[in-house]
Amino acid sequence: MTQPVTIAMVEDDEGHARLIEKNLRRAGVHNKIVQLKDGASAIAFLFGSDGSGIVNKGRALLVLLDLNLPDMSGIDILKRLKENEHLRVLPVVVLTTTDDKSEIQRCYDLGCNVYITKPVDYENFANAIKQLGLFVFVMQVPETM
Amino acid sequence: MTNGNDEMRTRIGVSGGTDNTARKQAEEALLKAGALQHAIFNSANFSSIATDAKGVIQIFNVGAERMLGYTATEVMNKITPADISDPQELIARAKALSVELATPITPGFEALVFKASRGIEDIYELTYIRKDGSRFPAVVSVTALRDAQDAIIGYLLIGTDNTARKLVEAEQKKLDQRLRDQTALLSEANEEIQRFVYIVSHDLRSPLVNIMGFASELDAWREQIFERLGALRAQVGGEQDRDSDEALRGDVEEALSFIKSSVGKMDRLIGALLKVAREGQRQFQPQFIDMSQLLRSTLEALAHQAQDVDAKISIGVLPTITSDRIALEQVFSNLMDNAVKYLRAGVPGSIEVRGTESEGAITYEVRDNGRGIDARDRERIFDLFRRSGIQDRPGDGIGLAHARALVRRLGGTINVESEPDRGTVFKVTLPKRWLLPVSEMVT
Repeated sequence: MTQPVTIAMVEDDEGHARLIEKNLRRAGVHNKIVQLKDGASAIAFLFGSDGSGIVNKGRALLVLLDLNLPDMSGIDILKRLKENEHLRVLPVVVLTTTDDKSEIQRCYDLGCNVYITKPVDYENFANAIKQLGLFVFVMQVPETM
Repeated sequence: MTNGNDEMRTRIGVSGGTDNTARKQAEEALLKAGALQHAIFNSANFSSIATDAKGVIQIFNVGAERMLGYTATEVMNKITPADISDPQELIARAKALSVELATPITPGFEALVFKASRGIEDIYELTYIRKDGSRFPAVVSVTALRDAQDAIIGYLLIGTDNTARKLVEAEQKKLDQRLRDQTALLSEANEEIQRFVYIVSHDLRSPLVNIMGFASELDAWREQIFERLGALRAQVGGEQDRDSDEALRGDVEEALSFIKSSVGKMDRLIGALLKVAREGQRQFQPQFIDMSQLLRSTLEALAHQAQDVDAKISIGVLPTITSDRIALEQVFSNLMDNAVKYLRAGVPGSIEVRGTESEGAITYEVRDNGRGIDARDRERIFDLFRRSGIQDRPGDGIGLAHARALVRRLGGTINVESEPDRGTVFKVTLPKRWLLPVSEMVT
């Protein structure tokens, strides 16, 4: 039987994290959410203490990634994930305030699966997360090799 | 010396330009008297050095003595002009001439006079070396002296001290460099501002997501709280505090709605800032533009709005221009949009676009019969986020600030003339042919 998907939420803003979680729960997503508050803890969680990524071998993970982190760019994390033999199969959803076209293009070029902009308008924000929740529902996550 | 005189007369005749008989006669007279020759050879400001065919100095005038520090007796029949010229330059000159004329030329006196010996007029810059070893830049004109059979019997080298001009040139070069440095600094500063605006705008958005998000959450909880209060009151079967609860509910709702509308406005302002910053990063491209056509397509986009407010827009025959198309589309769509937006209620709108050309510049006018702009606002309206008059139309005060930034980047100016309750004229003056400034060229 496939294991339930764990959501690794890389988000430095506590408020954003709460709002995302609330709206995911409202959308009926009850998966485990691990919040990672900066780039370093995200790297440590995803790649493990030996940095090889083998720690997450066989786990069903969905990475929710903010780009504007205090200690590094989310783009660097995305790049490292997609270059890692164990982790490159993980679906990555970029969820950020940046709506710059070239930035979006860059993320897709690097292999991000979905790019979502956090709108200031709360109705739109709630809607975006709801859509993301539906996505989590139906998504089949490959187990890492 | 007779032949030398002939040669000199030819040169003077050439430089004199007009071929006038009276003048020629005067020259003949002067030459006969030897006065001209005397004057030239005794001029203290020109070094006149005459050599024999081999280059050995035969005449060394006062000017040459003064410039070079030798007396005539020290050099006459002893050395050639090559001996008082920079040897490295001679080598370079010989090399260049060998290539240019496809014949081997030795880096000595030959290099100085080879062209003149072939009848080619030759004026060049070189460095003379004084007796004391000091050096100075000179401009030297070389002429071959020929006998009656046209055989070369010597050369005349007339030199002027070029130090002053060289100094000016060096100064000019320094100024040019400084200008280039300043331009580079300016465009660097500009890029930094663009980056700054860009980063700040994004970072400002992040807290707004929270303020808006939690204000909206609070709004939802407000409903729950007051519903629960109502239910509790019903349980105790009382009516106490019902009115003050209702008032409180209204207050909370009002406060939250102010927070939300302000956040919405701030989000729009940040969006506008971002748009301006992005626009500033766009590479401008000069191209030929049919302005009548550009304005007509702007008008099409506005036709609906114009019809709604009963406005007639006429576009005259406008001078064409070479500039950035997208920038001008934005400038004039902003101006036309404003003209349509701020008409007077009850007065049919009349908007007119004209253009005049003078001395490489074109002025386009957007003229309306609208509500006008108060005198004290005529500068302010070009500032970001500033508006004028009754605030009864939607807008964030960005259009004109953006328009002015674009016009400035295109090397132009934008001005306004207005009379309240009569109308407004915006005048955009642009260079007829805008070229991409060096600072904006892609490297």
